[in-house]
Amino acid sequence: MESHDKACWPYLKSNDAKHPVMGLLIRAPLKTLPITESLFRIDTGYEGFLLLSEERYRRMGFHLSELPRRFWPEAETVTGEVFRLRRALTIIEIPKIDVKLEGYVDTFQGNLEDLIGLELINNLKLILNGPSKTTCVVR
Amino acid sequence: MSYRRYFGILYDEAAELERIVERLRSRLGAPLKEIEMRWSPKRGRGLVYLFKGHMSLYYGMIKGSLPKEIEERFRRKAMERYGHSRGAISKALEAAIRLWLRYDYGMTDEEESNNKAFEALLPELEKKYRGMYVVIAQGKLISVHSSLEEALRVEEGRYQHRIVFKVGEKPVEKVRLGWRATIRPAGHT
Repeated sequence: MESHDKACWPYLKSNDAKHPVMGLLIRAPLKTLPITESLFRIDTGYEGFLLLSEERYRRMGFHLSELPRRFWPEAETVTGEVFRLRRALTIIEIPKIDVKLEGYVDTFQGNLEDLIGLELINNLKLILNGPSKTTCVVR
Repeated sequence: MSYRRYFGILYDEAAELERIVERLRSRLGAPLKEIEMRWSPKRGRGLVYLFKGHMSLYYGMIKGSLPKEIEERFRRKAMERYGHSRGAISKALEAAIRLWLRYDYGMTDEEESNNKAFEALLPELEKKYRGMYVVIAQGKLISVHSSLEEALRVEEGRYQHRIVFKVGEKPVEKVRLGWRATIRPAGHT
């Protein structure tokens, strides 16, 4: 199933449903952390690049190396709540197919989710195989 | 316990309830009978009963004025959401303020000085280093790099806060979040 041209991950079960996920390696400002691949849910409703939970954003040290405040965008939820995002530049990698992308991570107060957004997947050739419940990225 | 002399605070998590009671007891040095906790596992929520004499330690008072139209809309919404009971306006006000406080972030001194330096340096940086990655820390320009990888590596761990950005790149002003992005509730109201 794996080759250097294709990387696949099985859907992940959460709340009684299976969701498409991708494995990413995130370059964090705190290099003391072990860099390991983590699975992130894909959410085409989120327009940004990569959303991290508040706790993960802090633990990885992104709050120590951020974009200027002027560049932190506002976020709007589907229920119409508006608030400020924190944003930091990062590099993400998909080691299985040797892909490296520059982007940013977002978080906001009270966020509990880690999500891959539209801007990240717009850089990739993504295959969602529903019947076999796998997500693949093709080089 | 005579309920007229006590008021209840509702919590949805048993652990939170216990923490609050412990904090109140140590803060007030109150006899046990003045603070009581009741948890209902069936309902998944509980109440802290506090002697009314201690109310001012838990609740503060804010006075202010609003345009009439906003006041009327706010009162109407509060009644719709919390009913016509006593305390409905206070509950709605608390929820509204919690949401407002969550809108933005406080700034450390280091963050403030780095952001001020960014604003002051920006015109010059845009002239000289368009397309390059810039690192600002300790309120001054630290370095300029051609790649993000290099910029992220700079002086690792040395600064409490840094600004790293690409000169000339203007991120979007608004981002929509999808259904998956859940938010912790604004409060126990």
